[in-house]
Amino acid sequence: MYVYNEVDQRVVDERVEQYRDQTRRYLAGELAEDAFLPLRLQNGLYVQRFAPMLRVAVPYGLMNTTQFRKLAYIARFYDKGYVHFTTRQNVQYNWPELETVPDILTELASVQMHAIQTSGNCIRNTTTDPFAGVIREEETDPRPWCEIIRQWSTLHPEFAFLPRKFKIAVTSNPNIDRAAVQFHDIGLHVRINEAGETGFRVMVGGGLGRTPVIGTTICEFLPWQHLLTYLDAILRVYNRYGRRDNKYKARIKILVKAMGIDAFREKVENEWAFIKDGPATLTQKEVQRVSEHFIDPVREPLSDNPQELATALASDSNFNNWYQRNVQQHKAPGYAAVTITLKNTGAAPGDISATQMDQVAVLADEYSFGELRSTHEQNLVLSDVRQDKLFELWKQLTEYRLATPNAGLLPDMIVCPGGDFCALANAKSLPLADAIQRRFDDLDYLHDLGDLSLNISGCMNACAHHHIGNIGILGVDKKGEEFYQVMLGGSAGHDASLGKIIGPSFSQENIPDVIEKILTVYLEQRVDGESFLSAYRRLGLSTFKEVVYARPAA
Amino acid sequence: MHAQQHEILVASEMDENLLILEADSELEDIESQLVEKDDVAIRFQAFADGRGFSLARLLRERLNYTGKLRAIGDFLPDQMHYLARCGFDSFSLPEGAKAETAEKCLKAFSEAYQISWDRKEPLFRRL
Ligand code: SF4
Repeated sequence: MYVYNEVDQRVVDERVEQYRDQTRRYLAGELAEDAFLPLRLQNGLYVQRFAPMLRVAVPYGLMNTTQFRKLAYIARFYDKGYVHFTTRQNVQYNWPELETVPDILTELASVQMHAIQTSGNCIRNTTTDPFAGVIREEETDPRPWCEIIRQWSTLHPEFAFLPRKFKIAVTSNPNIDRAAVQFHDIGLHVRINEAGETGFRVMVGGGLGRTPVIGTTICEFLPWQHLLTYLDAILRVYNRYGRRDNKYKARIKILVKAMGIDAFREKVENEWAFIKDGPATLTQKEVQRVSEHFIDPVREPLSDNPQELATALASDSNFNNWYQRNVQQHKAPGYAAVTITLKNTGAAPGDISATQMDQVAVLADEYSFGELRSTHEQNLVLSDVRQDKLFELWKQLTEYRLATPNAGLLPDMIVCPGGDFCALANAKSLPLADAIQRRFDDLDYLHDLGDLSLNISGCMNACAHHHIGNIGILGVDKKGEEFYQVMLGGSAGHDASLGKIIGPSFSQENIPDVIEKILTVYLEQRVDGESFLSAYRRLGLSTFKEVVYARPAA
Repeated sequence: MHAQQHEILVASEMDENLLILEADSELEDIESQLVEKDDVAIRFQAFADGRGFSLARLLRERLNYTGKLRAIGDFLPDQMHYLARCGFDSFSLPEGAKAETAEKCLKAFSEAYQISWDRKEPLFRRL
């Protein structure tokens, strides 16, 4: 992974000192509340319902075990002993003291981490596929590009006060888009063309929130040299012409819609013409320098499906269940990528205790070259595990209660903090997630259902991306009471689609029954092992609607 | 690496011969006016409105304006480092802001990744 040079470190250290001084001035009354607000937001500090919340950047979800242990240490020393992983692959602390945040940032800087631009109307953390670099079918490794974008976006002087937040995601996986690039302000698909040249399909104006939109391609193939100047051009057009009068209409998607993609493209290209081939044009040397940080670890020459694995799979059905769901094919023979789902009934989705983090760090050191990744689905990944060690690893994960075999299954939900923590919420999301996990706890049933994404957001800001869950649930306020709207058919992948609302909303107690009815329709009507999403697309919303809203027979 | 001198004005004294631009000004409209005035100012209606940052860069980099460029209106001392990087070299401090704080804020960072008014090459070309 990327290792800071002296300048990278200095930038982060100076940011900590700047923020320390801002905090001091705020506490001394020299900096007004409304002036401090954007400054603390640009450093990831929100003031939530009960306490401040600090969001720490995990650039494109990659961490080493030193960093991971530091995150655990901070949780223990400055917070309540656990951390929360977000859909942007970042980490959140729910209970830090405003006064201690500069110290937390110093701790983070000591392991090459920071909270820069994790909030506020600026360019946020760039995200990617959690299996980047180890996927067999990947065209190229997207991580060097993510790091190049991280550096370009860090403290960008022109784009720190945009109309609204700005999110970029990168993928290079032609089959499965695990980064949901079509739902980002800018989505990049790194491609290799027929001539063997690297470039990007650039998509713009995707997003969720109140107005969900699938991104539109603005450039089919942007040669790699031009990445940063092209991004500069898009951001400049957005910064100058994006709406600032209404925060719900301020994202770039609204500007692109209002102008139309062709007019928007023309404006970007006009802007780009002036800076294209200028000094910000990327060099081979720089791409090479960054790429050298992402070369493969020295793996053993092994072959797939070793005897140890076959024996364990045959003898232990629990291990087999976990293997089916949580182990991912790897580009290197004899290796695998492992998902540790942070979706254990009783704990909030995406939460992990400091103790478990230390245990996972030991496992990552022993089995996966000391690296970990966080995922858009709020899970963790060990990306480089020998297949002949999987059984051993699984036994230890089981002991730490981290081997729930539910990756990609119904209980592997994406859930926002909701009404328990978030001041904007219409409804709670965590108790609902808990109720669903308790209702659907039969493993055979869940494995039989197969791939199914269920996303729960506590309000229309859509932090849990409910529009792109196969089943999406949205908390709504009905005359002061918490209700939930259900939508079906969303997909975050290359076949992106937005879910459709099934009908009138439900109370919390009814949701598990509603989901059960929906799933029964699927199980009864699926053909040839088709997934929930395929079945939904074939059957249509009305088939489900009829059953869900059917009056009980008299 | 801050070669230029920055001018920090505390009182809101205004020169006669100052061209005041709003953040939404278009370059076509500015060009003709530039020749008639000595100095240019960009007014910030609200510190959260970042359009002035882009406008400053365009003035400097597109129109090759080399005269004095002043920030006026509602901006924060904490934004001055970015403002300077975008091309401002004069700051008419908003009421209540201390010159001492402003000086300090200007020097918040000693390096930067991107190109800007004070750094014609990105860090990766200077490494
Ligand atoms: S979706 Fe709404 S309730 Fe949930 S975290 Fe986001 S803003 Fe808060």
